[in-house]
Amino acid sequence: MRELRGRAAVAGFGDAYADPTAAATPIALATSASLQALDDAGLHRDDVDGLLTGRTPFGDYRPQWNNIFAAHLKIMPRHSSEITAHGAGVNALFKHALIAVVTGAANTVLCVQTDGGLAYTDLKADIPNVDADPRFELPYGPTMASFYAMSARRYMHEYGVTDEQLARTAVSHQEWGRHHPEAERYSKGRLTVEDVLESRMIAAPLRRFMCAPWRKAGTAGAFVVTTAERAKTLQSKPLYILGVGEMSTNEYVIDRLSLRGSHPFLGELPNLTTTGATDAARQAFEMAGLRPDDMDLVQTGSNFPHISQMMLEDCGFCAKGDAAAFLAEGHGDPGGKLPYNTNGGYLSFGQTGISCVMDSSIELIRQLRGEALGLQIDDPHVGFVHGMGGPSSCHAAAILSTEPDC
Amino acid sequence: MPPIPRVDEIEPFREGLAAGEIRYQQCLACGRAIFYPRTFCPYCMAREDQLAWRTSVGAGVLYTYSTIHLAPSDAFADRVPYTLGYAEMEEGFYLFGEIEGLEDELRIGQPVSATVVDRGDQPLILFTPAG
Repeated sequence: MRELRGRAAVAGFGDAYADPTAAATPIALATSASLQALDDAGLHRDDVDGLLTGRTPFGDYRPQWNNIFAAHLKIMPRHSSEITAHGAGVNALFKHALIAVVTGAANTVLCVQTDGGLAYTDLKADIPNVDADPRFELPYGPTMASFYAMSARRYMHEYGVTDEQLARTAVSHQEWGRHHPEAERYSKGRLTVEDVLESRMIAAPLRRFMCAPWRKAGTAGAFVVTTAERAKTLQSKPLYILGVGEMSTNEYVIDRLSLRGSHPFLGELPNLTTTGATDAARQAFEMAGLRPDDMDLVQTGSNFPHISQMMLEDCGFCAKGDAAAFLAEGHGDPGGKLPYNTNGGYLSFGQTGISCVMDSSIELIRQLRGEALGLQIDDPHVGFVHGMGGPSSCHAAAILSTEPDC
Repeated sequence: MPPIPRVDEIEPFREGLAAGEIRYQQCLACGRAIFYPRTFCPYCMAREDQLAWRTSVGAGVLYTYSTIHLAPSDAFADRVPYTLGYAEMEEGFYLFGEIEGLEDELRIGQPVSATVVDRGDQPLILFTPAG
């Protein structure tokens, strides 16, 4: 993929955040985000010949949602798909759009994701219905928090991470989230380690403030991808896609535990603590010809603090086992050397269902464009965004830059 | 409780549960234990005729677990708190089930004994700490 570095770019973006007091269906949010993205790119709906979306939103759980949305906008794409590597598919939209415009499968690819939050779906029940094995796990009544709690327990056991360090990472995320007006925890002010450790237990060892809150209201994000040459004619600040990567390792946790060999290195198997993010990130950096040190900011899957820690390690920003201490020193906080999950991550921004992954992509786009809704990083040029889904099963990563050559 | 979907290749496992047994497959070509059940060996690619069904002695050690304090739905609300997790079984496969005890009473590596219990409309696996 090295030769595709920088050959496609984001020419426009849009986003929409539902007001919890007003009804806004996922499709209405997606429409709003898409129309904004087209306006931002100076394009018309009729210019769109490719439509890529992540998997069907929980809040509008109709199969063929991609085609439903195409029909809703009255787009007739010659290149369309739902990219269904769980939530990672939403991040992989960058990769698939890049491939489409570089090969000529489409000239103008609209990438969209939305979800409805609690207003449109029972997330607590619906997500395990999708992510737990219906035959061997679901009948026992697991929650997503419980599956992640199981990996947290292993991570703490294997690397000595403490409850206090989990709490401190949750605090780091809230240091960003309390400044982002669309974050679910925006109005909650500062969080302390004591607040986190005293919050109610959800699934041991994960407490309430160690779990991404279910967003009451939905979000949507959209971006338009075209060739770098064309993007330059449409947008004064195109964002070049320098690197992309992807790796899926399992579906259910029970699959992950029955892994005995892996061609991308996943540590000594079986384990729940080294994920496919390692290879997704490696691919993205290799394609971009860049290193973690070159990144001005980072967004990752961040539904629980141990995941925020594990992803920082797996994506190459810290050695395995070092992320908890790294974040406890404040390096990921506002003012730190590695701005991390600058919208508050899922832990503070909230989890809508599936569009939380797009929220991270939109945050990176906004930061690079200098249009952050919360705290703006000072003049960033290149950033990394990771997305994941399932019980840490599927991962994708992308590197975007304000320059085609970085 | 959501019913377990009927899927052919796991029928022997389901019959085992009904008889109070935990059955798994062993690949006769490479010797590995396979779970969840399949029609081929996912390790050495041997085909179904090389797979044998075995009954587990039910001995394992806890790999990881979590005590759930917030149920996923009303159907589980009055069971809270309950502990779920995975055990590494003696025969070399990992098994998910309910675990007797709460988080403070359990530890990774704890020996457990797996049995089959009746929970309303379906038999389920229960791990009991064994020392």
